[in-house]
Amino acid sequence: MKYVDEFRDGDTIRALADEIRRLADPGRTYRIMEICGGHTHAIFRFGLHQLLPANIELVHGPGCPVCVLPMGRMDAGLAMAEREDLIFTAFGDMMRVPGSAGSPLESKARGADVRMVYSPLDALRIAEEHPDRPVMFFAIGFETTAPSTAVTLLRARERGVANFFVFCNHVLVTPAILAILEMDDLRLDAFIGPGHVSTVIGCEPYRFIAEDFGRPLVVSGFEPVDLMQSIAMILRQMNEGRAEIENQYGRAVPWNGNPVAKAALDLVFEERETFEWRGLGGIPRSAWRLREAFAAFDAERTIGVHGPTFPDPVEAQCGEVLKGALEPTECRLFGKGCTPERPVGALMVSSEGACAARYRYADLTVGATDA
Amino acid sequence: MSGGDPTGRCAACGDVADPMLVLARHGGEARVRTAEGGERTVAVDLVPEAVPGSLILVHQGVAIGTLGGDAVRDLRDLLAVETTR
Repeated sequence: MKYVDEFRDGDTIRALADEIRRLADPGRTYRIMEICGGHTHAIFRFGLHQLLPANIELVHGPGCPVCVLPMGRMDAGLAMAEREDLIFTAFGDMMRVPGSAGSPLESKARGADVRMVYSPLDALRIAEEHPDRPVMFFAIGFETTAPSTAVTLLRARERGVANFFVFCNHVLVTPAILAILEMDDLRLDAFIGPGHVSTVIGCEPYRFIAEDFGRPLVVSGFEPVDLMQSIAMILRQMNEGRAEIENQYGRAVPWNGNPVAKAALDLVFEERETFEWRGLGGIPRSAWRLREAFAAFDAERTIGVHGPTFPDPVEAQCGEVLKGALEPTECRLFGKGCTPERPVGALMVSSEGACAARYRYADLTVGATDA
Repeated sequence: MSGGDPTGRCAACGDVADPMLVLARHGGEARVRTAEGGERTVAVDLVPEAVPGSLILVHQGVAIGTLGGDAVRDLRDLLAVETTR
């Protein structure tokens, strides 16, 4: 495909790899966290980590909303699905996520009306087609995904749809980064910032990372050339003693983001005081809930969160991997008790989870083309 | 897990947004052409600046931004079709 080919061009990637090797000071190490699950996926898919010198380590961050969702929230959503008349809707990515009593697909096998949707707007359409039944949308995702939920709720209110409900699990990127930066055992030097989250929120919200913590962040696109260029930009900053927020992905990320999307988010959502992240614990003001003006659409307020919840399985070491303390392959269950086919830990569930990406692409050698 | 995405991406976790060309706009909805050559309808409530000919980034059926810069020219060539202004 022409649009992506120039960003997957082997010669360009090799030239950037040469530049990175030239920039990498052999006397120091560079530990760079890619926050976004899409970046993690691309790094493994294209084997970019194999192009880097040994003293550049990529640490896979918490940017996979499916991965960081505690099992208790899955249990709460699935308890709603067990209501006889309720239609449970979610993205396809959620269908195999394990709760303590199984996944949405397993609930469907037991008779629950579970439907996969491409967009929350599809869930709203289902509600309009079935006005006599409650329809619940399991909302999950960062600031990239939350606008689609916001638009859907604004349309639901405008149309007076009374049987549509949202179970809100939207989380925020910058509080998670702050939580990581405040960890005692932090060993990170810099960040690759999420691309499409930044299309919405812009680059300004990351300023504290450079100003308060002295770490560079480069907002990056998702193609190999994007990522390699971003790594080179980070190395230049570190070598020159700079800590700044830079934008490699200017073709999609305005510095101030999308003001209309931000206004819609502010209209619909407010911050929760705290929210539990799998592997990271409770993080203040790190998630959204619906504002009072949208309470009638809030599944937590109307349908209610019931049913037993269980803690995440302790044998999987997702938390240590999320914090960068362990490589995915160092988890005691990796590839043995925990695989993409039968995930135990959350990081093996989504293809963007660090463990699933490592598992899937572990045997690939360096390759620049995969179109 | 992908929900049907041929590249195996998780759209929510992967921070995925796909570029599409606006063919026609009617209020909050637009007919668009995808990079694969298909056509579909998406919500454009959040990109009031998008008009026929604009390139937008679409996530989960909703446009979250417009594309700009040099790299866009190639995509515009790829997607070039008659648009309704």
